[in-house]
Amino acid sequence: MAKTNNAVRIRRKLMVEIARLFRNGRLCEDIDRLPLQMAPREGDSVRCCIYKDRAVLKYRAMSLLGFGLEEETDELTTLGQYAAEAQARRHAPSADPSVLDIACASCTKESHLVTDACRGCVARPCTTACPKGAIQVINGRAVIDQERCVNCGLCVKECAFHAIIYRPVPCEEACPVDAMEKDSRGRVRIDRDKCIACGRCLTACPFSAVMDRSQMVDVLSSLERGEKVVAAVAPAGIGQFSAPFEQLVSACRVLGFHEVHEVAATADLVARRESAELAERLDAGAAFMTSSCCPAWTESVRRHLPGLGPYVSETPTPMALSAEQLRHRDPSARIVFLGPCLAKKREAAADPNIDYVLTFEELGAMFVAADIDVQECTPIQADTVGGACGRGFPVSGGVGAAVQAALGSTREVSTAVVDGLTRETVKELRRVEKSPEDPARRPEGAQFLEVMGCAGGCVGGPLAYGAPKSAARAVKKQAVSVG
Amino acid sequence: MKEVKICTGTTCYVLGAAELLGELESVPDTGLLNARITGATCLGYCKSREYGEAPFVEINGEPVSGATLEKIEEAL
Repeated sequence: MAKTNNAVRIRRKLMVEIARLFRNGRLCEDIDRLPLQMAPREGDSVRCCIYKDRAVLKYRAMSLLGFGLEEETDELTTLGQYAAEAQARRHAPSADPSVLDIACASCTKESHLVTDACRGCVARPCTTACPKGAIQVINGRAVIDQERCVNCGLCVKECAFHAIIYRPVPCEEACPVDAMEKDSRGRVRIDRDKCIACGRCLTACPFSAVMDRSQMVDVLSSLERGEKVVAAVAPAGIGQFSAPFEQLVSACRVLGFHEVHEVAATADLVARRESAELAERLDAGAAFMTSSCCPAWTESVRRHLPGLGPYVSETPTPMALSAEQLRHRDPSARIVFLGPCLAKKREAAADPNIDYVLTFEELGAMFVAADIDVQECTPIQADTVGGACGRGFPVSGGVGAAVQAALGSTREVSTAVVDGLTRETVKELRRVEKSPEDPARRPEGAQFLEVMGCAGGCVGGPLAYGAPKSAARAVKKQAVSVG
Repeated sequence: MKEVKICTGTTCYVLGAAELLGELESVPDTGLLNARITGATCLGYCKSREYGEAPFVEINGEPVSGATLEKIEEAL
C-alpha cells in the first residue's frame, strides 16, 4: 500500500514536474534542471550531500522516463537525451522494477541485536531459549554470536525487558518470494526469475531504491500525437481521488483520453465465467479452484508453486477481457490500462491488446500538471459501466463474493481469502501445494480460494493513493450505488 | 474547538493528502481529539507560490503548507 513519507513525496513531485515539462513542450530542454531545482545548493541534503541527492534524483527521473539504471551505458547521457528517446519510442519499456543501486543503502544482513535495555538478568531466558547456543552473557550483558544465530526470534519473545530487537533488511523482509539478493558490495539486486512483480519492495525500502519504470511519457506522447487513446480503468479506480467515479471519468476525458471504460464491467463477466468454471470443476471431482485475476498471484504459482497450477481458474483477467473487447472494436486504438498495480505491467507486456499501463500515481501527476481538479470536473458516465459485483473486485473478499453471487442461491460453495502475499502466506500456500486435495491444508477448507497479492485487495496496491481502508470504503459505497 | 480542513483537491491529494486522511483516522490522538477534522474541496492555496507547497491543511482559517501529521499536531 502507498504510504506518505518523504520518499513517496519526492517521487510524486518529480512525476508532476516531468508531466508539467512535457505539457509545456520543455521536457528535453529542461529536465536536466530538475535534480538541481529539487536539491538546491542552499538547501539541506537528505543524504550525505546535495550532489548525491541530485545523482539519485537523476536516476529517479530516468526510471520515470522508463529507463532502468541497468540500461545506463554512459553516465554522461543526459536526462534530456533519455527524454528524447522516451518520446520517440513506440513500445512500452520493460515492465520490471529497477533497483537504483546508488540509492540502495546496502543494509547489513538481517540480524538480532541486544540493546541497552538488557540488564544481564539472573534468569537469562534468552540463553536458554536459543536453540543454537548463540547467546552468552558477557560483562553483564547478553551478546549474540552472529555466526551461530539463525534469526529464529525466540530470544525476542523471552526477554522480559524487550531488550532484543530484530533488524531486518526491509526489502528482503517484504519480498514474499525471496527474490532480493545482494551483490558483493551488499547492494540489492532483484532476481528476475523469482520476482512476481508484486511491488512490495517498492513501498518497503526506506531509501526508495526500487523504482518502477514508468510509461507516463509514452502515454503523454501518444495523446500529444493525437492518437485515439482509450482508457480502461481498473475497478480500484473508484476509490481514488476523493471524488465520485464519474468525475474521474470526466477528468480523464479532459486529459485527452477518447474513451473511458470501467474494467469492472468485464469483472462482472469474469465472475460469471469463473462461477460456471468452478461448478464444472467441482462436479468433475476437483477439490477446489483458485482465482486468476491477480497477476502477482498467478506469477507466484508459475514461478514458485507449480503444483497449484492445475487449480488456478482459466478464466482470463478482467483487464485481459476488457482489452480484448476494446481491441476488437477498434484495432488501431492505443489501449491504456489504468491501475494501482505493478504486476499488471508484466501481465500487459505479454498481452498484445494492451499498449500501456499507467498507475494511478502517474495519472494523478498528469492531472496536477494539466491543472485538472477531479473534484471540479462535471460528472459523466464511463463508456462502459461496471455492475455491483465487478465493482466489488478490488476489495479482498470481493471476488469470492461475486463468484458466489453468480452461482446463485441454489449452490453454496465455501470461499476463503488469502489477503496479501507475504513470506508467511506464501509458506502457507506451499503447504497447500504439498497436498492440494487435502481440505485441512487450505484456509477454511475452501472450495474457492481467492488470493490477493496486496493486503486489502487491489485498493492496497503499491501505486495507488490513500490507505486501503478508506479506498475500500469509497469502493463499497459506489459499488452499491449501481445496484 | 479547532477546525481542521484537509484539502483534498487533486494537487493536495496527489502530493500527500490522500494518505494524510487515512493517517488521521488511525491516530489515537491527543491534540487532534479536540479538533474537528473535515475534508475540503480545493482551498486554493496551491494556486499561489506564496503559501508554500502542497498538501495544504487549514487550521481555523490559517494555512499549513507541506502538511504532515506532525505539522498539524504542532499547529494545534
